[in-house]
Amino acid sequence: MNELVRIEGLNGPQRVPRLDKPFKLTICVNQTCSMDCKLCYADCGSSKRPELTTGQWKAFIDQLVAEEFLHIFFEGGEPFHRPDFEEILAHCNRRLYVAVRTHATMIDEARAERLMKLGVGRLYVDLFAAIPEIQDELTGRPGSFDAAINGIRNARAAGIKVTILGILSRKNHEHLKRYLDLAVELGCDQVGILRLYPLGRAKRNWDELSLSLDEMMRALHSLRVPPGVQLMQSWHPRDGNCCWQNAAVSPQGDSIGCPYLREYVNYGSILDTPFVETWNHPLYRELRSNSVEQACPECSATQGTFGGCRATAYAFHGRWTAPDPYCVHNNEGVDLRALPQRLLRED
Amino acid sequence: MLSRNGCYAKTENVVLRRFEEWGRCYAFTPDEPEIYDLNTSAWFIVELCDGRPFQQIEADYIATVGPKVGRDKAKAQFHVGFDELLRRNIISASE
Repeated sequence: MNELVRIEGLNGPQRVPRLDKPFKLTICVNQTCSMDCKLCYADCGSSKRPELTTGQWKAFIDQLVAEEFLHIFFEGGEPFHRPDFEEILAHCNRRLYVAVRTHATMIDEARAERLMKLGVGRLYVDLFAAIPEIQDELTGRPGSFDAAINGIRNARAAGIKVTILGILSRKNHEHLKRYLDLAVELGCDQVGILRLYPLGRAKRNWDELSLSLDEMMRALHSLRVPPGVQLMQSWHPRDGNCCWQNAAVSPQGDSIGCPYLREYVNYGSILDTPFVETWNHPLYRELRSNSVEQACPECSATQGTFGGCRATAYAFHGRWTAPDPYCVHNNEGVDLRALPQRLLRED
Repeated sequence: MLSRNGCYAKTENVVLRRFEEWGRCYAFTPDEPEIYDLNTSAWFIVELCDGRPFQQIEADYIATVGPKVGRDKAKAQFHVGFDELLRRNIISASE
């Protein structure tokens, strides 16, 4: 591990607190899916280790409630591909705020009604492209775009809030506006344009999918957000360092801090260590310390944190304290289309 | 002008998570699943809603906040916050 580099004035008073324990957590509930997505970070189907059982997840959720967690974010794989997922949701019902990231292709009218009754607060629906043919190509499943749109319609008809997520890539950067149009058309109040992370299959397909930072910024700047829709994005000037509050657990029960750190860290298994103990792992504490080599003042001002995303900083530089190259002021000439050999070797 | 009778308390199933050192409190409302980030004023009103009468809640808020921001401003602040908390079902009328 690199020694922390402290720069005078950069590690001073912070707007974010040092939490004794987090209040929200991502449960990556499974690593399976009915599709074969080129951008799949979980690399579904690749793990030989068993996923946590229904009982183990329920016991963990009881632990979180006892620890005064407020917010659980479920993602996969595709959570609904897990036959017991609704049973797990039911165990959270009314005790925790629940959001689910999904492809929405498995949400029919009846399921949408059930999810509403189970108290699901919001669905985050991944559309790798907002054009049917491209989405179907990227998921490897013909008809997946239409199925996702139907799923969104069913969720909205049942009264569930929906955020449409688009991972910015070479496959959608020329039609980003279509995401906003879809949000208006489907009654969704949020669109999230997310960065592409070098993880799982996305890493293996990097050459085909990745963009330069200039191309990303051009695509983002071209957007005009319609009234009633909120656009979320994490590039300059909103490149936050979320580690101070992030917590996540892998399908196998490993405490990994953030789903985007899943290939880089393991703070211990929740099967044999209470989650709060993993929160105090030395590396976890280091990543929450906001100690970085340099920070963009504008991003720090909007986010109250320093240095931007630690996952992409580490991916491209191999140092936890490195600047995040997805911020225009911290990029330092890094070509985001070219992955470091180190990452490819680790694959 | 807000005029209410009766007593008020935090709605029974609303979950609060307090961050004293951060001056922040989050409220989870299970009936309409949402998380609210309460500012210090709203947080203080929720804490005062422990089943005491409305007039008492208002008087206690003004007695604490008034000396810092002025009585009129504290009263206006209280009414806005109270109404908003009631509308979001974070507090409700109690027996």
